[in-house]
Amino acid sequence: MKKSIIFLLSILISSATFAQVSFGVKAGYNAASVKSNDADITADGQTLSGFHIGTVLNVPMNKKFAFQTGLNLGTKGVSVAHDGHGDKYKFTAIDIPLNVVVTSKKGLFAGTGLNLGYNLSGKLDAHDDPTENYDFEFGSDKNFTRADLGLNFLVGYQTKSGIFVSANSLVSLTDIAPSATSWKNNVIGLSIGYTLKNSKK
Amino acid sequence: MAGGASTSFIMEDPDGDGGNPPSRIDTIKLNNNKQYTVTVKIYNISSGVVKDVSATVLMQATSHEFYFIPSGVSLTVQKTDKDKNGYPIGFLSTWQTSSAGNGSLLFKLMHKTALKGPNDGPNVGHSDIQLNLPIIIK
Repeated sequence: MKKSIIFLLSILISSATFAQVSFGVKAGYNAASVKSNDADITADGQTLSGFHIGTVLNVPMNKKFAFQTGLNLGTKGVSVAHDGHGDKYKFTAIDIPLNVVVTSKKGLFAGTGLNLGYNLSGKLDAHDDPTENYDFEFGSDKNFTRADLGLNFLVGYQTKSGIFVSANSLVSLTDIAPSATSWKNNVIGLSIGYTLKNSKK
Repeated sequence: MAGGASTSFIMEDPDGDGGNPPSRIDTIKLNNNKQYTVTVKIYNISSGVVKDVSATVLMQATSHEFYFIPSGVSLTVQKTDKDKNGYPIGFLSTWQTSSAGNGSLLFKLMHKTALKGPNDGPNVGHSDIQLNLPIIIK
């Protein structure tokens, strides 16, 4: 898998040598949720609001298709209703999307691809008693693992001036809970960003 | 006590974890160099109605675990019941005393949604019950 990705990147970047590579920045809202077999989450899990900021590198493959990647920092997790309040299970993660994006002449775009995620940190935010906040431990025999492979789905619109808005769905393929509980982080993201149009290679 | 008489020790905390201090805490009195079989029962007493909620917690055993943390006394606690994942619960346990002494026992019921593992420390998750119980080993 890793060799295939590197090979694909190599072809894409080679073919884009004479194309117009664009770079952008974006930020926005994350609506995070979790797919889990845990009874509490199944019964009482609610959307956890958060944010993301990131960069976008767009490498054209031809007139319609482009390889799009970047580096994003954002929040994931879930809020669990409990005794009249919500306990927040919150992760801060970096994500590297590896998307193929198709763009229409009118600026509409859509794409999909893999997502390489890495959980930098995480904690249980015990709303009723902050003294019981708990920092997650990461490792193969701990609360969660850090690596998180997923799928991206992306739609958006970009103006000729370079401003874009987009919505994406990040669906985790990785069960990051080593215990008997399953845990897959999912995120719906809404972004606004700006692409610098003149960064030629 | 294994093979002996049964004794109950009662703790009451009407407003639950945090808030006002418990209204009743019995001192746990044990003999030295003895092994005891301990069963925990949890009751919800509301408007004079007593309801055993142990079964409710047991149904959610994959996200709950009891802890018994002695301080100042020679006591070893071994949880003997397990949830459907094979992880400890703590409704049932054996307590082995050794030398005589006075101390305390921190009794916790931790609610650990999605966090419960086979060897968790007592601070994983958040507490549904947390009581510091006086204990005397004679």
